[in-house]
Amino acid sequence: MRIAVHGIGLVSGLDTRHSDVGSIFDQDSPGFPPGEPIPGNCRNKYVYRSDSSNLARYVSKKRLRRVDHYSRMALLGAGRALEDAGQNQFSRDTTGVIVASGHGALKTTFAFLDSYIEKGDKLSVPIHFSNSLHNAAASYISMIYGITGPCLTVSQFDMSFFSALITASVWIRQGVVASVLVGCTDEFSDVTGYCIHRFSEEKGGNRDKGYSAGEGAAFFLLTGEGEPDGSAYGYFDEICMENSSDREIDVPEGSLVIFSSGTFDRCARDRVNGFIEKNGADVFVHDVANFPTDSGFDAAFAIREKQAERLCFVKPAENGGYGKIVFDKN
Amino acid sequence: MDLKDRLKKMIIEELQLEEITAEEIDDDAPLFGEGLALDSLDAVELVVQLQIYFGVEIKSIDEGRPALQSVNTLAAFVEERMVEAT
Repeated sequence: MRIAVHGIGLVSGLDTRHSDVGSIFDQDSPGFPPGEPIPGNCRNKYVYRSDSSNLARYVSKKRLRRVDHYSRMALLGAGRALEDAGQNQFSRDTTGVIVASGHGALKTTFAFLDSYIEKGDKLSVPIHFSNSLHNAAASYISMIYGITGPCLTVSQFDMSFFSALITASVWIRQGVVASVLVGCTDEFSDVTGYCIHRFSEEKGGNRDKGYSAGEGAAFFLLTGEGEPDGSAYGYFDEICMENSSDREIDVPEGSLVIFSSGTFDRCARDRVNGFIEKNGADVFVHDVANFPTDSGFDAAFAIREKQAERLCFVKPAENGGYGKIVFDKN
Repeated sequence: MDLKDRLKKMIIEELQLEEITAEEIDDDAPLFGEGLALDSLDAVELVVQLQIYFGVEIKSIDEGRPALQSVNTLAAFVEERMVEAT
């Protein structure tokens, strides 16, 4: 059974930097203006921060008072996906929610840990604690949008989005739910900036080499294949995670291959470069506004913007493996 | 700034009540349910923040329930504990 994609919702720091975000996958595009410089002693390191203020369109300010930036991005992405799908595509009672995140609510987690270190366990901030839990974003989505199906959070670093999509597919195939609102979200924090600085020195060996970090969210409303009525963007044909570094990356013939390659891992980068050398033209490497679950982000962008009939999304993992999604428009 | 104003400022900032000003909080209005419509997580947060801001500890529900009724009851509780401490 193929999985139909009915709604897509995106939240990105790139929105605010470029009038035509679709050109992210245009090889001839002059490129995005650099983001905000990452604080610290970093050269050529930028971050594209996301704005979630448009969330007021879907949720009253009063209901958002305790919701942090991480969960707001997820709520905005989810709200946009539901709106894009339209009310007829799903019932809130038979819809599940799955949120993938590589790092969770970083800023809030560090704020909580800081309060714990500075004031002790008795006086650490309770609101920071509740928001720092990895499943906060999925819970807010369920509660605020009234979705009463199963609610799950998946965290498997670079592979989080692939893992979430596999679970969504299983839920639909087994009839656990009729539809799944599945997405990814990750946020940038000062600690991320510090790590980028350190990794660029230790692993890349060239601290002046450019790197672009990001944050955001991407959500999809998925259902079973059903009878084609023209309402779906297309179908996820194959979703897999491969753990072996020995096997070649296997992509379907005639597909446009999109690599989400924002990694400092040399093995992963070599793998992408080797693939490009061997396979040539129909390959695009997305290396702007990177974050652990940016493969979900790339999939959402490309499905909406690219005209190719078949797309293949690949994310190399640090263990030598990779995640892969094949999307078919028909 | 008097104690009630400091308490109101603390409540607005720490409980992230962005849509209300200190002037709009009635000293006698209930903090929970009606009035400011705070909930149980806010109660936990208030207990922690009272200790951080004023060094005043609410040790049990029996102490907390009457103290957390309104800004007036909270101010009276804090004042009493601060006097005791001196």
